Amino acid sequence: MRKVLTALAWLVSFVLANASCAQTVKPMVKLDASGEMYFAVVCGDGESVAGVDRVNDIHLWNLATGGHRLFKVGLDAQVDPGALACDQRTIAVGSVQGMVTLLDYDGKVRQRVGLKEEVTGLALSRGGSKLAVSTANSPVQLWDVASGSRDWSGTTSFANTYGARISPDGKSVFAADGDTYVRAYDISGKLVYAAEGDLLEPFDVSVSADGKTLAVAGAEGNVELRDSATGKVLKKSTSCGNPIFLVIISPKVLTVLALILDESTLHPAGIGYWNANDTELKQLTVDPKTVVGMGTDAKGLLLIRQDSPAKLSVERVE
Amino acid sequence: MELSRRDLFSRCVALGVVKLGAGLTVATAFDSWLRAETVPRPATPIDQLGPFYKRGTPESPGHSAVLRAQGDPGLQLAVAGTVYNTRGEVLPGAKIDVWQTNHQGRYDITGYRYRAMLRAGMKGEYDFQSVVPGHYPARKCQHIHFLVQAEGHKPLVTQMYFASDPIFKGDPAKNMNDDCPSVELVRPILLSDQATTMGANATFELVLESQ
Repeated sequence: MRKVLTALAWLVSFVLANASCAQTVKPMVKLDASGEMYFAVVCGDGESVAGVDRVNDIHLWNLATGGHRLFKVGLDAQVDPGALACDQRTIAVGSVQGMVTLLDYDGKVRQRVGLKEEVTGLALSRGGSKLAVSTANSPVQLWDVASGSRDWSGTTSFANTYGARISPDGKSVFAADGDTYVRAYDISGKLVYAAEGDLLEPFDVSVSADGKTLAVAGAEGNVELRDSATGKVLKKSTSCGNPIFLVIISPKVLTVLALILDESTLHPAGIGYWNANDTELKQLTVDPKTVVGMGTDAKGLLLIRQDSPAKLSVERVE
Repeated sequence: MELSRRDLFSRCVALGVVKLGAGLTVATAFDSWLRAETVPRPATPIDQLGPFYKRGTPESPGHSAVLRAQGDPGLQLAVAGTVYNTRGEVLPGAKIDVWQTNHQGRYDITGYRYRAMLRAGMKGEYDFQSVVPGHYPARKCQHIHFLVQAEGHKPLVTQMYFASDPIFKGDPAKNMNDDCPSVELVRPILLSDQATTMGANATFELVLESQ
């Protein structure tokens, strides 16, 4: 009997402990979609969502009104997940053939820039004046949106940059590089640091709203928080055992979403959630096949899911 | 002891069987001779690094490595080649990282199985013993990753493919696909004729561009 009571007490404390840090996914807004999305992102501070569908058309939704616009901009080829970015005025999309297209919220194409490599990632600065471009074989590049010209290219020992982000204040660029380093540049292209990462490649980096903290994740399957000023690792989650392709940090820093891929198929295998007060990288109880994007607004983390071919939902992760 | 070509040339000059014209030194004459013999080569096409490159692969002694362990399943594979620059000069000491899946298409993430780091020999030569890598769902083609680095040259990140891969239907030139960027990276294989120890042999020359 004593053993049973002890076990019961342990079970209750275990359930309470897990319930106290359990996360919920709450529907926020439903959006009408005229096509099946391939990939979608949250724009600016969460005012809009932009997406690329399976026939390479661009969609834009206003989250406050649910208003939807469809832009047929004649993309030359498929778009890699990650090669779509937006702010409050500009949408940037890059193709596997190396074409970067910049359009405004009316769907008017402002720039088309042809690169010679597959575009694998894009990130706009706040205000949309600068664009960080990742490609399949080269280090990060920073482009001036107004002129459509390249300001500078970064450096690596031998590899391409997988994911790059521009700091909210527009003064720094952070790159997750295939040679396993995380690099920081100032906005003029001067290398500030190259911080050694894990033994396997980092695939993505995300910057907190205050610009002080980076979340970095990749083939090791864990998420690191790093000091953005030095690159020093502050905290590290457990590994999920599979590569993490995309990572996004909440404005409040303490929580992170991660798109986990199956290491064999490289298809979505889970959505990781990490509360940095703990070490465990948990998985949300959502079907990863329905997740087409992740992002943040002022309040926290958001998931974008394809409910049906005609419906998207934006959900808050708490 | 086997003399190097440079030593042999020096000896020939010393013995008078090779005479140098006015203004030539032994060193400049030898270098000019070698340059005249070299054939410019196109740079090896680049390919994607990853995923699953891993830093810190232990260095194998010399220009040879053995990636497979005794008893490993899979068709045995021997890969050999030479590291050149685009002028056709060999690059002794070039650092070569290779990594691949096992025969079932699995990378070793936690350790360094089927990964090696070796240095090209004095004639730019390298070789390694492995197994033919397996297919895995994210990639259509069997492949081996290479990262080659030599002083004064751009690092080369590339992959080698196999003409025997069913994806090419026996004719890589006609049946290329988007998983392989260049037919030049697709290498024929030669099967050894010993039924009991049959293995595949392939050559893969690695040509780096100057910085």
